[in-house]
Amino acid sequence: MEIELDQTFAYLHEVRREPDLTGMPLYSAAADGDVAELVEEASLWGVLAGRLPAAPDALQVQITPHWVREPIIGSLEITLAARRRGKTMRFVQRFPHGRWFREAQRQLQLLRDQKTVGPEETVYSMLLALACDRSSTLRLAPFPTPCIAARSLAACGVRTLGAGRLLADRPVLVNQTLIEDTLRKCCEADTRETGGAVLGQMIRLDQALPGTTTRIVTVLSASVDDHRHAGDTMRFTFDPAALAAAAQIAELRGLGETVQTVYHTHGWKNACGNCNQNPRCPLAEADPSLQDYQLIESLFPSKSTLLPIAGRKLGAPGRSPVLRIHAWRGGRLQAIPWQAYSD
Amino acid sequence: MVTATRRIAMSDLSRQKRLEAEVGTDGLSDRHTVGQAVEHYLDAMRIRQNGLRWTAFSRGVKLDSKTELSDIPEADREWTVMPEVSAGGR
Ligand SMILES: [Zn+2]
Repeated sequence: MEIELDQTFAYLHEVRREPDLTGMPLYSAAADGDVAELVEEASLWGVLAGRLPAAPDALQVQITPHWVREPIIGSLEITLAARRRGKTMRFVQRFPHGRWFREAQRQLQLLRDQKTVGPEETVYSMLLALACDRSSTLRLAPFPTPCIAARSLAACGVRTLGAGRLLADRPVLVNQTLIEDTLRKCCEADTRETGGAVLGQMIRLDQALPGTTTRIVTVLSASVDDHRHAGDTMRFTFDPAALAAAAQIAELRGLGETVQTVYHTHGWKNACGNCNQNPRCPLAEADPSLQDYQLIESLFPSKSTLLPIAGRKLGAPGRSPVLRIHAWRGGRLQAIPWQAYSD
Repeated sequence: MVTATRRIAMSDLSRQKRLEAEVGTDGLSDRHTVGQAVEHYLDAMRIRQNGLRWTAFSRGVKLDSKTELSDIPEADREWTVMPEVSAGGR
């Protein structure tokens, strides 16, 4: 595939004491890699949404900064024009977030630990775009054709659809047994974290499901636990050999599944049970932490990856944990709606 | 001496990041080790190493990172590359 990149800026991430460019930055680093990741996210978003071809002959990438005031970026707009067999499809997405947001949190923690910044002091994180000549280019990751098989829901073991709703451009179906298993494990582990591998696949249906705009559906079909993974309070370590064994199980099942992702839990206090209602509950909510980002980006570096987390969520109804599934959207992992199914 | 062309496929667990390398041409030779091939994959796919310990598995079994590619049997040419890594609420 031929890639053409319209690149007229070099990107820089800075953390500063003032909301402008006065004085010296507390932290400054090149952010071209952060921006390259957004291009990859936009491309997969477009493919899974059915708005871009999976294997284009040529791809044209345009990155446009939207300024807070030049050179400080408020958001980045990425336009992809993919050509396949003489036909061009265009996909545009705005990215208010990116890796620099997570880096800023990490840097702030370091600066506070070093006492460079006081515990109550505010600092400002900003992405800057500096005009450069066209010869300097972003190193984009290769755009491999996503692994998506033409398959029916029945062939994936989907019999009936259950509760929930689908996101129109990223429909995700989750096996009822997987949901029950992960929530039960979360309760059993109490305030400790637990987790396991999640088997599944991305498939292309003949027709989009009602209420959706893409024929590509992600099916999460089963969880595989293994005693070699090690859980603790606020931490869960995945054992590579156990994940490799889960991949073997996926192959043996013969349904075309792979280890799509891993799930983990953020804890639940059975003695309290009020974790969804109590804003002072010390347990983390079922949202991705900085550590979770590192986990998912290392184990599953594709931007098509989903991250399921079970645990408490402030405002969620009832006295039991919830399962939240996150997808890459706008430069970060965001909880998306999904629908249960029975096999 | 004639060396047969050999292909190594490296991917993540979900198979969405996949690299096929021809040993002898794509920057890898028979004398490179499994560990070096893994580095090659991570760099080519722009995967950040994050200071983690990365390993390659074939057919569910971990490959020794010091093994030279010439000593890898034909049946072990499909690798899954992954690190040891933690998740957490913090
Ligand atoms: Zn977590």
